[in-house]
Amino acid sequence: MASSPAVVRELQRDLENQANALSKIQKDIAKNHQVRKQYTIQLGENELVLKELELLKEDSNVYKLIGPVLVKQDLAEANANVRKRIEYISAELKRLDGTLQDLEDKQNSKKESVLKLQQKIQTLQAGKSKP
Amino acid sequence: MGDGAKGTVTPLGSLFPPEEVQKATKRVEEAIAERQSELGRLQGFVSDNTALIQFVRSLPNELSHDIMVPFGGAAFFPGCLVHTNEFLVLLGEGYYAERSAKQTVDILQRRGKVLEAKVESLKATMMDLEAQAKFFNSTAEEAAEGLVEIREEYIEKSEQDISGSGPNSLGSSKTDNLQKADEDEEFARIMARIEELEKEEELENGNTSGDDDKDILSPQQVGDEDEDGEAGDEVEDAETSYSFSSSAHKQETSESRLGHKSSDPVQKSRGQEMSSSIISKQIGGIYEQQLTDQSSLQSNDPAQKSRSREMSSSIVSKQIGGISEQQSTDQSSLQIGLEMQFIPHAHSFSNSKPSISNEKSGTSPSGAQFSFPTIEDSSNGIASGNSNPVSSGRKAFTGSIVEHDVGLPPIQSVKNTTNQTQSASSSSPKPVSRFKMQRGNR
Repeated sequence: MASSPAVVRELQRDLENQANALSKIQKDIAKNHQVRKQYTIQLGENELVLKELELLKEDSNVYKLIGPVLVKQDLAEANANVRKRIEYISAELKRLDGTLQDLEDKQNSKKESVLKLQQKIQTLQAGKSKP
Repeated sequence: MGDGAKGTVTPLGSLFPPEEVQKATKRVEEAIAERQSELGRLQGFVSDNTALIQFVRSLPNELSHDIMVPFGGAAFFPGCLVHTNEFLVLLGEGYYAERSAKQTVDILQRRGKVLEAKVESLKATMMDLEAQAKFFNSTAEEAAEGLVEIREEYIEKSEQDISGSGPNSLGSSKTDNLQKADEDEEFARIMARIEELEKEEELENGNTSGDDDKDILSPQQVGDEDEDGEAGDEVEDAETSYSFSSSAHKQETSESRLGHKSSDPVQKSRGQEMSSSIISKQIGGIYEQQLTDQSSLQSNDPAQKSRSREMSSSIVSKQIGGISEQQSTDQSSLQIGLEMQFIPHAHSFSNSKPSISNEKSGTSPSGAQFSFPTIEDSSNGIASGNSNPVSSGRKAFTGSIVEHDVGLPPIQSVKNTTNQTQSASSSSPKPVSRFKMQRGNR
């Protein structure tokens, strides 16, 4: 079977491509995990801050560290800012969850195709070696 | 277990390859190490926090503190700490709040609580991981030692179903063997008790009326019940189909039973005894089936008949409802059916099959006979040629049953005399003896 080595080579190239795509997807998933972790930590911290701000009396001074500068802030303003930040982080987390789900699905399908290719190659090679 | 049962011997190593297990162990250990370092960090925070609280508490004690103020990267100059009660506390995310010392302490304490909660959750995760690691380690060791998993299929199809579900649920190699061993032990124990009770009954029957039996049996009933309960449980669990079929059978077989006459009054008494036992409840369905099935067969085991009676009068009768009445009229050999039910786990049904097959031909239980069909099939050959279906059927059972054979005939004769009295009495230990009878008959 003169065509079979070529077919096998083609299949192997396909396999390589699929494998690369799969690894890329896996890296994306890892990054997603990382970002998600960070966002989760930030969310926790912001919720802590909000709790403390609520405990403050109306006339307390609140400062925000912007770079090297401590800027005096209004308590109400600070409250609003922290709340908005919490909302933003939650939305980001949800978005990341969706992306993660997509990536995982893609990863699974890629795995399957890689597996199939491998099997094809194996059978072809087995067939070649027999005769 | 069953003779000629197919068995598979799988070395644990093949199920849990040692290399993979080791890899899994390593992974789990890595995870544990991670958690460990995280835990260390958090605990550092906690200690820092407490130190800070102490410090903050001490500052307002003085109007001003003399300190060496750090200047630049490598210089200090002497200075004073003033406004010792004013603190700019970092709330998080770049937000600071001006607070007094006491308020600062409050904030710090709240923060400390949050840290503690995190530490606790981390510790819990770590414990789970450690348990996992332990399991992996032990599996790796077992696989290395060459532990072997043995799975045997039961001969009976019904048994296979049971055994199939059993090993699957248990999952590990040891449990399979242990389960079968446990069942065997159960049967052995029950047999032993049945023997004891039989002997007592013999004495009782010879000396007094059936009431005595009841009295004697009652103290044993508790134990018997337990055993029977176990056996019954086993049987019940294993043969839920039986119980269902029995209830269905009851209606249908009652008619067949009516046709047969029980020769043993003892059975009646036994049946009454059964009524009081919890086991009878459990076994009720089974007995019912047996009663109906064995209506055509002569009951070698008077106990069975009495048991059937008991059942009628006992809670079982409640379950069985109208069938109990029929049972009282029929004193057909229930033994075989009963035996069959209890033995399905580990014993061949050859004994019971003949009787059952006979019964089956006579009755036409609707649908519920999952177990019966199997029994019939196996006993088809035997059924036709059985002059002594009960005895032959019983003999096919395990050795423990054989022993009972010796004791049965004498008991039966004794029981006959006491059937009237016994019918009136109901003692629960009878179920145990019932089994004995059944098994002994084999």
